Amino acid sequence: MTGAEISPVPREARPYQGHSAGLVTRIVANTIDALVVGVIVGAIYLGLVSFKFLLDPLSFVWPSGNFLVSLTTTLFIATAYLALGWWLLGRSYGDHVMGLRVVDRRGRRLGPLRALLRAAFCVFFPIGLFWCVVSPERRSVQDVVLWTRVVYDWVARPGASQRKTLLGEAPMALGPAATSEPRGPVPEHETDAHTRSRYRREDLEESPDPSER
Amino acid sequence: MSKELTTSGRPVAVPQLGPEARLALDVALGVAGVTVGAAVVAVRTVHRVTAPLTRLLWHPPLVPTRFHPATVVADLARTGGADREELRRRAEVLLDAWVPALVAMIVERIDITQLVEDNVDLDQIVSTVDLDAAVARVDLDAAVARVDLDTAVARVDLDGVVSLVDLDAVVARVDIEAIVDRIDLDAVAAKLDVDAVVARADFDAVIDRIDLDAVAAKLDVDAVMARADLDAVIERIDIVGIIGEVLDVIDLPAIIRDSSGSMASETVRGVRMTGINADDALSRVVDRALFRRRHHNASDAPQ
Repeated sequence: MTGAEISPVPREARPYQGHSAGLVTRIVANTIDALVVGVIVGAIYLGLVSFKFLLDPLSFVWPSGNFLVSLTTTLFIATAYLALGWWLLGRSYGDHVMGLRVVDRRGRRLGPLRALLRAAFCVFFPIGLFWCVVSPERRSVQDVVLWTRVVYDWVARPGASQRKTLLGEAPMALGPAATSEPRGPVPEHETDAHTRSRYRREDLEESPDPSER
Repeated sequence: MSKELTTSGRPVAVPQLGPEARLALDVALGVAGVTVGAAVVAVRTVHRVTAPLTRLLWHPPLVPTRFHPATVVADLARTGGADREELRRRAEVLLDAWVPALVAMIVERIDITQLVEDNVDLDQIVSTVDLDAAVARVDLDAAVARVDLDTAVARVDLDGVVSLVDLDAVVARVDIEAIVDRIDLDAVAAKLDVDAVVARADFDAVIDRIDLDAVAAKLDVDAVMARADLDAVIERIDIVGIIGEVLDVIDLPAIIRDSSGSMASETVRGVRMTGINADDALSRVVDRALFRRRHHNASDAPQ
């Protein structure tokens, strides 16, 4: 790496890139995701109602919603939405708005199974999020159990800012989420690939979470 | 009263006539002249008187022409003429053989140069010669063409000649400016095969000899830049091409897409930064409440 790359991240936000996200940001992101899920559920409901109206407009009455079915459907949709987002993109829409990314312990995007488990865990046990307040590593219960992390990453696509340097070299062969790996407190001027890689490993492997013991 | 001649180095006395002898000679000549005149008159008279008879004798009548005394005499004269011619030819052969030898013997005994110097007024002779006309008549071109200059030059000891010349004095006398003024430098330059000259030049050796540091130190860069037509230079630069290459390397479109996709508005950026600051503030509060030393994770990040 030469450090000659041009990053789209604002200067004031660059030191935080790769650091674990705190509670406030994650709550805002989750709220946005909840709104998105609500919109999706509402759209599905309206779609079904419209379909029913088209089938029999004369005898149409607004369907009386079954709370349990609606709740189950909503939770299922939320789980599917989050699982697909974390698996395919590494982030949901709320994460995207707040500049967050969900990664595994090595900084890579989650696999489908782990994404699904984490989504279900988050949907059915949302209170686990608050463990990140007391966790020195800012890890929620879901993160602790599934060995994941939520990090600041304002770059839209994984590795977009380091895909090509002025020397035409590939940035780092650390996987598709190379630039979204959690990073330690690296001074801004210290851009050596080896140094950064070392910080990441130490940050992830040598910083035990009290809850894991 | 006698001039001296030298014959084979020995002086010889030339005899001179005295006045009496000269008088006697004149008298003799006068008598001879009168005699000759009288004889001529007598002969003419006799000839006039005897002419008819002589004619009759030379051409007698009734005698065939080939037997006329005139004819016989004419034949004899013709034969005599042929003999005379033959005799003259033989005499010439003899003279050709003898005269050079005799002249050589004579010249050997006479100092002709001295004789000419004593008796000939050379200055007067030369003064009568029209040298200009003589020179005008000389075909100098032909004369020069006949000269074998190569051989002549080969015989000259040029080194010796040059060593004798005081070149300093010669150069001091030369008016170089006048010479340069007379030279048509344009014509000389037009004849010059610059390519051939440049091809022969050893530029590396020349450059090695040049003290470029000294040259650069003397250079007035400001003046050079003031004279430089930077606009023309910039016009020649393919700025568009250079920018294209740079954009290819840094992949600017991808960066623009990233930035516009993730941080389209200042609002999103502000919300994100507010969230980060709130996270840090909350972490500090919790750390203080738990009497925990601030962990290096996120709280060490520059504020």
